[in-house]
Amino acid sequence: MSSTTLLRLARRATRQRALEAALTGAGIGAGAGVLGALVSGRFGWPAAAGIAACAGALVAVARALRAPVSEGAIAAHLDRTVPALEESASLLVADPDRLAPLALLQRERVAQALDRMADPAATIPHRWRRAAARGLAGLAIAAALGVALPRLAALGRPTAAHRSPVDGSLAPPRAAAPIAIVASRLAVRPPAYTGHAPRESPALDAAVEQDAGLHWRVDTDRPMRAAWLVGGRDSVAFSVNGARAVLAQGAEASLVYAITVVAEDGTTARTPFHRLDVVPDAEPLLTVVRPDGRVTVGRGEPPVVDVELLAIDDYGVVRSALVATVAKGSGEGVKFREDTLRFDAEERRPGGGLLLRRRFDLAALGMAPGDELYFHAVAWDNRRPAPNLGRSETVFVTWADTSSVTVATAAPMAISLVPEYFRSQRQIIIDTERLLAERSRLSESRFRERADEIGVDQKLLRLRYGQFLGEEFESSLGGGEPAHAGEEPDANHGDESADPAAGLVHRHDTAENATLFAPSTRDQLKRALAQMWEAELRLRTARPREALPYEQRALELLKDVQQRDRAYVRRVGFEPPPLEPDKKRLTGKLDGIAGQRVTLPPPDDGDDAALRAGLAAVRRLRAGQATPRDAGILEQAGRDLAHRLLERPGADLAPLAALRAILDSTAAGRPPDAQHVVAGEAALWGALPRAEARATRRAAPSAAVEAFRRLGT
Amino acid sequence: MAAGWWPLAAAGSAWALAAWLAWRRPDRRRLPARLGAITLAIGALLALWLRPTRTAPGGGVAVVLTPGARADSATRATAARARAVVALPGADRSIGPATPVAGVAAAGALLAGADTIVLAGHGLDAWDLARLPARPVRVIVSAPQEGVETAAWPARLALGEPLAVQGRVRGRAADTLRLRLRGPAGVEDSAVVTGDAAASFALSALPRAAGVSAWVLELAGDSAVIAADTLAVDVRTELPPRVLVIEAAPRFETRALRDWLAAQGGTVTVRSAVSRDRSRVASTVPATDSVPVASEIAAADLVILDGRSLVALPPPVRSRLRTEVAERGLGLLLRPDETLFRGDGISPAERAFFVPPGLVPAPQDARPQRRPRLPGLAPADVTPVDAEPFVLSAAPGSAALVLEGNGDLLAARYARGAGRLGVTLVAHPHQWLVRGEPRSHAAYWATVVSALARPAAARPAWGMTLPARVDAPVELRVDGRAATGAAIAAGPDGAADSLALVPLAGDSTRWGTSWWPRRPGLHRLVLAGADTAAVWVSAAGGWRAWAAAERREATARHAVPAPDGVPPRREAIAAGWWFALLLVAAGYLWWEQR
Repeated sequence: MSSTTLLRLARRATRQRALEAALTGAGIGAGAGVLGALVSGRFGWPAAAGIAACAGALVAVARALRAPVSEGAIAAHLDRTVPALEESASLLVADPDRLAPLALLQRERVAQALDRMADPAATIPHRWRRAAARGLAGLAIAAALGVALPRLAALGRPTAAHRSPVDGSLAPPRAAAPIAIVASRLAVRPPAYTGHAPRESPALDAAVEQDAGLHWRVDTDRPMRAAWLVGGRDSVAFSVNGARAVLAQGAEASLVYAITVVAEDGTTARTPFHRLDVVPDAEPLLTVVRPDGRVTVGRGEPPVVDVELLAIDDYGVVRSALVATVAKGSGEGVKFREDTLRFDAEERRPGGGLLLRRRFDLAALGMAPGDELYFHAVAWDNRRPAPNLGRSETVFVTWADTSSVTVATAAPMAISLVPEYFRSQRQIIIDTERLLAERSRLSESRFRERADEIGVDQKLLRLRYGQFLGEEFESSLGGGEPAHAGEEPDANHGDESADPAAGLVHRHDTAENATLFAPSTRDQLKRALAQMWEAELRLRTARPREALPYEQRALELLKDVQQRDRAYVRRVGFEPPPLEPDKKRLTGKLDGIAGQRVTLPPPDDGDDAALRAGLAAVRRLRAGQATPRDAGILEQAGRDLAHRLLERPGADLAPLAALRAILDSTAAGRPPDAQHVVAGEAALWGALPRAEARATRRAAPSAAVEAFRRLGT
Repeated sequence: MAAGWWPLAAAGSAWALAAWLAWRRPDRRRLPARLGAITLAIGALLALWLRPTRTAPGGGVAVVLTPGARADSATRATAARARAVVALPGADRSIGPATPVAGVAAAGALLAGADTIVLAGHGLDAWDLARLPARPVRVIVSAPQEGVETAAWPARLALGEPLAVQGRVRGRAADTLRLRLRGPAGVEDSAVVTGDAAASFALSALPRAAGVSAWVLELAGDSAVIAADTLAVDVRTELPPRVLVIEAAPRFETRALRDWLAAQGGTVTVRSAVSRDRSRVASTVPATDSVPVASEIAAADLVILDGRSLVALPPPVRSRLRTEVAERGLGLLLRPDETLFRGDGISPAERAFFVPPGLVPAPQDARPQRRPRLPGLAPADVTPVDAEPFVLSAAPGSAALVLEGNGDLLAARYARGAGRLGVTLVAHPHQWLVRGEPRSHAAYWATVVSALARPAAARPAWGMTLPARVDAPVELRVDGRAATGAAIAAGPDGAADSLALVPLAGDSTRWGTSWWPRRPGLHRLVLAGADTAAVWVSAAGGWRAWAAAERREATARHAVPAPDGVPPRREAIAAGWWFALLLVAAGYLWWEQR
């Protein structure tokens, strides 16, 4: 029975030791688990602590059970602690067959003494408190490590990009699989007025309508922390929700862009560069079908002008109008009136254009002969909110007038405000018509004489106009020397061969060099003079009927000149201060006049400065001599390059990707890929224009040449 | 044995002395043996001194297969009879059994026994030929290598100057090839190469930016690139000369010139007379006080002035201007006008200095506009501009600056001591700007200003033999007074070679050394006080055609026609035998003495 007691005590002691070891092992395991979690960064530290504590306890229990407390050890312990057993408890575990009789008697006594003990198990010492204290201390240390170490590590962490996905872990940046973009879409919602349907495509390159709504959507294989649309001048942040990021923007200007996503663990991914070409809404194009640019409604013609215009717009014309300006009066008394008129008819053309028609009744517009009408058409397209406005060219309509204008300011004395040369031609016509009417009553000689007189008047008028054109003045008015044979009947022609300086001097008094009138006015005046000459010729040869058409044509031309003058001469308000040449000039005094010295501003770097700086930066990278400023320089060069590529439809965007790869490598502290460097250099080089010739200083002469020259001197 | 009589006399004297000493010994029983030993010992010493020779046994022919060697019948037959066949790196070893060697030096033992050395292929470089044993050399010539055989290009350019590459290229007999000059952004120029005869080529391109850029000469067929050789050009942005413009009245022309120079970062001062003794001075150099014109002349590299301004200059200032031109190299560009021909205002001596003899007023029927030929521009791209009513003709000491298409001089320069005087008839180059031809405007002024301006201060400058290849020597030269010490050749990986410069014989201003590049890529040569030079080092197989042509030429110079009857070759008797004889004789004498 006593041996059974020993066995029971041994088992109890074994369990007791296992439990104590479990407590201690759990504490040690918890601490190790927290450290492991923070170092590895894979798990949360509480979970790691729990798992590790369990594991530590199990290991400790197993180890304790592998080495159980033996009965001998219990017997030895009883010998040391229970005097009643007379240090003979070991006899209980000995083989009774090998014991001497005396030992057997002592064994029997010890067994009885053991059985008499009330609670033998109480003699087995236990260390519950110490074990529990160890375990709790281990857990406390683990908890302290788990809380404190991530915060300490966060103090030395430079950027959030390297933060571990497990909050609070002490994890350096590790080579985790980078985030991947699994899907991307671009939805385009054109403005309603375009009539285009919304569209959506996985392709991020697009040509979109101006003011269209753009909606990007990017899906990644794990939650994102941020996403950016990189391009243009500023990067725009996406709205991130887990593994999906969206961005809505209006299409304002073309750009080259890429989408960059940043995962929670700091890894990034980027799409290739894409083009977004914004197609602007063009303003309506108005083409005048008829009439031509200048219309003259002559005498006897109906004062009606038919107008046709073709209006074309990429999305449709919604409104159109005619802006007509009527100019009435002459000389200084010109009055302008502007009206906005509607078209009479609008006809849709198959190609999408709009044919606009209107008939101008000049009389209905309040015009009279001599007045002018200037009009152009305007049209608005259907763009919202601000429509585009298109404008046609201006058409000039002149209602010809051959009547004189006389203004009387006082009844007793009529004063003509119009110069004499503007009414004499009409007088010649009246005289000619009167001569023709009276011919039957006149003798032949009188008829010839009166025709000759009219011819003289015609000549006087011609010479007067000729003065304005710088033509020579003829002293003989009538019956002058007959023209030489073979000579043009033009008084302007002198004998130039007799003048040795004819080819060397600039004649201000020749018609070609006269600068009084604009070239068109001068030509018209010359044509009027030619008509006068023809009329004069026939009048001087007593053929007034033949002269009459030339006289009328000359009058028309003169009136036209008069009207044109009104259309183009606009007064300006500048009145220069009066000069005082008698006081200031030719005195030779320089008092108060000093020399002047100005400093020229420094030259502008030009449009290519960013590209040149970028090229230099790429070359420094290639040579391994990059500077911290090179990243910014390359960013700016990339933007300039993107803008230049946008101006070339269909241009390859690979150079931009190469520059971006260089920047990414530099930011990550890696040397850039050689292929990217070569591609970036080629792109920047190719975007630069060929250099212009520059001034340089010639090389210094060699020492021998210099010595030889000095010998010579 | 051509050392003369005195070794024999010395040996005879020594023998006589030793024999007398032996004769004086009382024991004469072994006297003949002692005399014999003495004779042998002295004879051995004499042989060690004079190194007698003997007729060597016959050695035959040794064949060296060099790159370019062909497996033709002549080569095979020669190799079959040869006592040794060695193949250098890059040689075709299918010709027959050959011993591969790393270089000529490593083949020395194999070639030493031959009477004649036969080089098959393109041959050897000059420095390898010098390492060959002194034997007659015969050559089995192979076909030339297609590619660029020679080329010349400026290793350094100023931005705006064209890169011109000229040289000789060899193509293929049956193919039409194209030689391209490829820049950083693609092909810039090309030329067609037909046939297998060496043909000259000239390609050009206009660099777009400053810095060291690599250019490739590429010989290609329809589908494949046959040869591609790289060259480096260092394009520098140099400040333009300092220009002073003195004009009798403000002109649009001057404004255009001023803006053009200022855009390049240049220093420009324009002094325009606005009245008698009153001028308006516009300058890129800030100055608060009025600066005398004489000081401005001294500070300028080029003075541009018209005839009226020249005559109006005070005589001391004119004299200063003349001194600056003749003695200090100042450039002077004169825009002629009728004032120069009135005969008053300047002395005859000054007229002879400032007015070149070939400048006369133009006839009345002279054309008012001229179309200059400008560098880098096609004649059709340059529109005519107004010309001054004068005629310029060549005179002794003159050189053309700008010509018209028909050969008429529009601008010329004349030597005036250390400086240059220029005269231009192009009156209004800014008309090119008005017409949208900025390149014509820039080309005209770049030509005129660069040719006339005061020369740059002399600085040590690099010169070298190009192209540079790995394991081929590059002869470096530094021209300049201050070039001393060691230079550094920095490679693409940052490793640097230190190069000791030695003064070249007969010229204290020129220093030089040899450099053996070890790594391919862009290298920089740096020397304190001198300009940095950029060199592109090609790999060992680079510039293949050029290297082959150089080897062929060097080998042809070195080759000696081998005579039919090869004279017997003599070789020195090994010194060991004589030394052993000396030991035996001396040992006997020592033993006999004991």
